[in-house]
Amino acid sequence: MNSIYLPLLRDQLTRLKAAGAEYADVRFHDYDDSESLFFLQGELRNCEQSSTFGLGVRVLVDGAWGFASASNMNDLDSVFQKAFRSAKEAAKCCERPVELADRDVLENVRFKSPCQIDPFDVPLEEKIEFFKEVDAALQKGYVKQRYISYEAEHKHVHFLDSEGSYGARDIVDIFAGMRVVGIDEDGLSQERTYNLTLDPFGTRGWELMRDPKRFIEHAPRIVSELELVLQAPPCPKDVRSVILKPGIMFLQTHEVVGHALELDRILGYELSFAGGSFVTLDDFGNLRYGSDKMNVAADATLPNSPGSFGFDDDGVPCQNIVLIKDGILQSALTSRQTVTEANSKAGRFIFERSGGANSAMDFTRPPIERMTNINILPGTDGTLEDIVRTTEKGIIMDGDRSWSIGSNREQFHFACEIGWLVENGAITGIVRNPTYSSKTLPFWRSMSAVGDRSTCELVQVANCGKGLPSQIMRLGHCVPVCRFDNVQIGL
Amino acid sequence: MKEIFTKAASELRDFARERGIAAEFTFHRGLSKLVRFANSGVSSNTSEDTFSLDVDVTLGRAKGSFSTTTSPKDLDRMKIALLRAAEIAKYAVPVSFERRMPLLPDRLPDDGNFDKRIEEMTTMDALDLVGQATDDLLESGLSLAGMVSSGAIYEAKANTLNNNLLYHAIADANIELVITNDKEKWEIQTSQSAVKHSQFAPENMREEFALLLDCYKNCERISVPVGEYEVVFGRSAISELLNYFLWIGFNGRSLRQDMSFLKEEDLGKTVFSPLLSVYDDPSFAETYPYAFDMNGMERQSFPFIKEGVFQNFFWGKETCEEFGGKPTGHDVPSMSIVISCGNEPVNSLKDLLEAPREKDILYIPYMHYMGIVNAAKGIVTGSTRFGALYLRKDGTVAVPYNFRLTASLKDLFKNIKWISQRRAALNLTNLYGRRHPEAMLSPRFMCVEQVPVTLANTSF
Repeated sequence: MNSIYLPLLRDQLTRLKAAGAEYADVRFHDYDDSESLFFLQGELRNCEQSSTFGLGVRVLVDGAWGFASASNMNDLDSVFQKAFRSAKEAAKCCERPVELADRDVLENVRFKSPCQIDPFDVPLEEKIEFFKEVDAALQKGYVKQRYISYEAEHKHVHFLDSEGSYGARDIVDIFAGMRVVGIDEDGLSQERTYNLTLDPFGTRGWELMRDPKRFIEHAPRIVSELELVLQAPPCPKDVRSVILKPGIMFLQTHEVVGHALELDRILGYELSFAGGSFVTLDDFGNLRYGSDKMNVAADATLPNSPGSFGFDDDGVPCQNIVLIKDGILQSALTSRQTVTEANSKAGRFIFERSGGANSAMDFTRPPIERMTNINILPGTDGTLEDIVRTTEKGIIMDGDRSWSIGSNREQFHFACEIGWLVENGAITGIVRNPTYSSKTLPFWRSMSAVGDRSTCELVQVANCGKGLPSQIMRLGHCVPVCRFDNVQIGL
Repeated sequence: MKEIFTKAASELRDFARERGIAAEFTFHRGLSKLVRFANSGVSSNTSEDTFSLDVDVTLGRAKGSFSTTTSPKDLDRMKIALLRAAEIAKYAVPVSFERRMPLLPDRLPDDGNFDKRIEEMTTMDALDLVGQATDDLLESGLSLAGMVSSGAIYEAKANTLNNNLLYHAIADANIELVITNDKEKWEIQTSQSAVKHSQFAPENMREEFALLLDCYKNCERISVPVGEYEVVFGRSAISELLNYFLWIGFNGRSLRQDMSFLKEEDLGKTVFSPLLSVYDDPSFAETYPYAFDMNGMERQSFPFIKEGVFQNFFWGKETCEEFGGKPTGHDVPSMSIVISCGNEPVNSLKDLLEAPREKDILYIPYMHYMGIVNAAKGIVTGSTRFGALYLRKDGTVAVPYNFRLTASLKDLFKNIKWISQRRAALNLTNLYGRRHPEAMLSPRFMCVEQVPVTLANTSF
């Protein structure tokens, strides 16, 4: 992965330093290739590829950030100068000069995601044939709509900074999903969905699709579950134990643990858009976030996930950070800027160093704190069946249908695709339109069972939105089956 | 920019025709500037300049697409994109319906609303506007957050059927400012959208901030009991709620896919309050309108709801090709949604605070993170944020902690009690990917009865 532009970019960084920049970095996206296929009723509706390139330049001058991006590589000087000028202008309204935490210089680090078969090397005909086969498995009389989506990305990114760092990323990701929709007895639509999950220790190339257990074998399952949902009564309005399968547990973790623990949110940098956090700096080391059974890590060292990327866009290597231990809040998702500011504001040393979670969507955006792989560590409460056996009055839920969360992540409402009622240790029936809502801390403190490793799945998130200008990020959550008690359902 | 698009389109057309390729070209240049504020300072100052080309090649009923970023004059890269799209089309499986490339009409450039001053807004302009909007308000313990976003797009569409070129250019700007209380964590917000720089009136933002600040600093805090309320929605909340209609209400494709809460049998019937009229009306410059859609179809005022009666679904070209019907000119990146005004003389926050009340009322200016609980029933949920108030019958005001509504859109828009006489634009420009200016013209306030509060916080 070499680029003729690298010497020119280095030269520009040197010139910025000479002009008075405290720090500068540039991300040059050699190419970001993507391919997406979309099938509706077995017909290939969209067949798209794209190839984009460009650079994003970030400059710190007099304690303030400036950023400029462009897809035109013919006038590099103007992009670097624009970023520098933006920083100078921003410094005129800078309440708290940015200080970057120390870190080791990134010395020619190259990260390549694990991939056996590059999806871009697989002929289009083979992919289309494969998804036709998947579609055939989705066809049943009661299935009114069949959707299959597939997206692959291949990104080549160079990172250089004025402190002498150089790193390169070569990342392949695959996202795929299938959805079936039917009409229930009230004439309303119901759906079941399956999205490709990963083996955290496996690879993430086209070989995933060829593994029947990972994708195509789920087709008959969601079809038969849809049939059951279509005939099922509505979810009752009740207070019960809620058992969440990974297909919704990932989102529960994402929305009110992951987002709540982004340090930029905690420090007020997202208050005008994505929101803040109920967590304060005083809470680290003290706050009982959940029950003793709750253990959470931000593990960007997981060998295989979109949330593992080698080093972040501060040039900080990816790490495995304990966020919550035995229910007590320990740490957050951090960057070089925010750890310094948080320690200073708290008047104590909460964060030793950046946790390596500062990432940008693409070359057009500056990096901000993003989730890596926010994982709930497996527990000792056995399998789903074991957890059901110890549940007196509960409901199992799966499939994210909608989500809505308070601006400080203090409360939430989730709607799921399917629910299984549990009475006295056994499943007694299926319900449709299951929903649950709660306040964040009481909910996690009511966590009464955490499934073992066999219940864990690594679920990918392809569309996490945040920031202004807004950014989409891709990441993963490795989560087990979990149970929470006394939860309001059916609203 | 039009000359560059014209030249590129001409060369690409010739290149495609020589090879017998039927292709459509969409050019987009986006210039964006965003000054972001947090903790009372500029936290980020960004600018973006991207030029992209989308190519769609049709081969009978099959279609292949390829997108690329490039520099405006790099025709070689554009030609490669064309060949890649043609290659994909060879393998793409034909669909079961006829796909027709549109015969683009000869249209005048759609750039009459373009304001160069907006496109050229600087960091200093942003700082000046924000300074005026918050003058003397940021006392100790309060912080400023927000953004000033400005930019412009230049778009063109051409294809190999003829030599016409559709051209659209517009600039947009938006200020969204939030004052936050560092300790208690409450937030109040005000915003302004502009299609001309001269439309900015930061003094109005300041006035609204001052009124909200007075309430938030001095009024009692309450946790709203769960139950039904009379609610006055502000324009941001109204827009957020109404936006769902475009997805799961008015959309012909959603109807055909059983994902719409409005059905064909609702057409011509009074489904909503007689006070409600909603149009897609490109005659309003504040909405950053498209004079014609991406197929060249002229866009005119198109009623969705007239005095409560549901009038029309909108139909895109491909939906019509698949299901039959006539396209309605809605193949656009954004519509020009306009909600008609009412008769209530409550046109500012001051008016609302001073108006006599028959019962306790909740004021909800903004809904945060809404989700669809059940698309087919039109049930949505979301939480309040940014300056909700509890307006008591006795004239006193309390500040409610954020609370959640879970309600059916049909019920919400059926139970309208009154609508303000005046309206204002709310900027909805997409800042995720390519810039696409968009704004909805919404009444300042809309009062709705029997709105269910389903959960309430006990702190901010």
